[in-house]
Amino acid sequence: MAIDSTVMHNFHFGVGFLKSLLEGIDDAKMAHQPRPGMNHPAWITGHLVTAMEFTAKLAGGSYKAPEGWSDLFGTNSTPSDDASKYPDKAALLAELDKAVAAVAPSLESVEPEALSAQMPDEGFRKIMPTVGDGLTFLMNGHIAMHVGQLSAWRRACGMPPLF
Amino acid sequence: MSNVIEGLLFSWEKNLGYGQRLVADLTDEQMVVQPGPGTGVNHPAWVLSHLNAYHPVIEHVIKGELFDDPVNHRFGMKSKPEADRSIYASKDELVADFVSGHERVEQALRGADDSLWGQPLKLERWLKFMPTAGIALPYLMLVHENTHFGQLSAWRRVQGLTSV
Repeated sequence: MAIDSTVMHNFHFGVGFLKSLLEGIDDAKMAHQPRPGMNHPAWITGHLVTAMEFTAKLAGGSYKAPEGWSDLFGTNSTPSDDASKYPDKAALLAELDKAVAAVAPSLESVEPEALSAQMPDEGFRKIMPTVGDGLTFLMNGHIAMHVGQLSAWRRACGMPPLF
Repeated sequence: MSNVIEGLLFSWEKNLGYGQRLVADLTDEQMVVQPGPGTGVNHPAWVLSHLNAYHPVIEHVIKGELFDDPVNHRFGMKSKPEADRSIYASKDELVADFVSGHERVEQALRGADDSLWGQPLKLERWLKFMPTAGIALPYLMLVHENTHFGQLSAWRRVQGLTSV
């Protein structure tokens, strides 16, 4: 069974959910931290875009996030409330669309056999032994977890839940 | 076992550990904390109660069985987190239910094969947006659970607790 008829649907759902949660958030609020240390919308969006690089690599495709984004949004980065450090909301959303458009065709064409291949990155192999483990996590679990952080960020800012 | 099932089980097992770590250092009293106005984040007691309500649903989806609509569950999506501690089971009970629910789902999925993915759901209301088990299971096991884990992760930051 290919990945396109299972986790692919939920990949697009997760990206759509992220965009829905971003609606109604002003540019000026994108780097706001209602409590110190909270991941804010700019960081969450940029972080999920940079994760598409690794997703593309695992799926046999190619996508490269803009220069400097891995420092700003990578796993070891720390969100700052200084909005001037981040691209504006329009740029973040445009790059998100670009990344999804670049990655999706590769994901749709991943052969089932490729999923059992060993994780190419040695560091990640310790926590995600196969390509299938990595793709399933990145396409569904990882996106959803940060979407949940954004959902909680909205509540902490006094915004209503989406549903 | 198919590669997709293995991938799902891999992330499911990670969720089992992550869910427990998110509440490991909390007291029973902290489980229902929603500090101050403007921070109506879902609290840990509600999140675990809510997720635990879905474990039997996931089992029924895997087995192709009819199940009660979780929207009507006491801790379903229409419910609101309450500050009254007595509404919820103790932290230890919630965690124990979370663990056993995860184990039952894992056991059911380990016995399945790829024919599962095209299996239609038996809940009429869900057919419009999740017509098959192939779409419902990654949603219920990964997207739904991790979205609520993300809320817990942010709740911890609101409390000034460390990230997990």
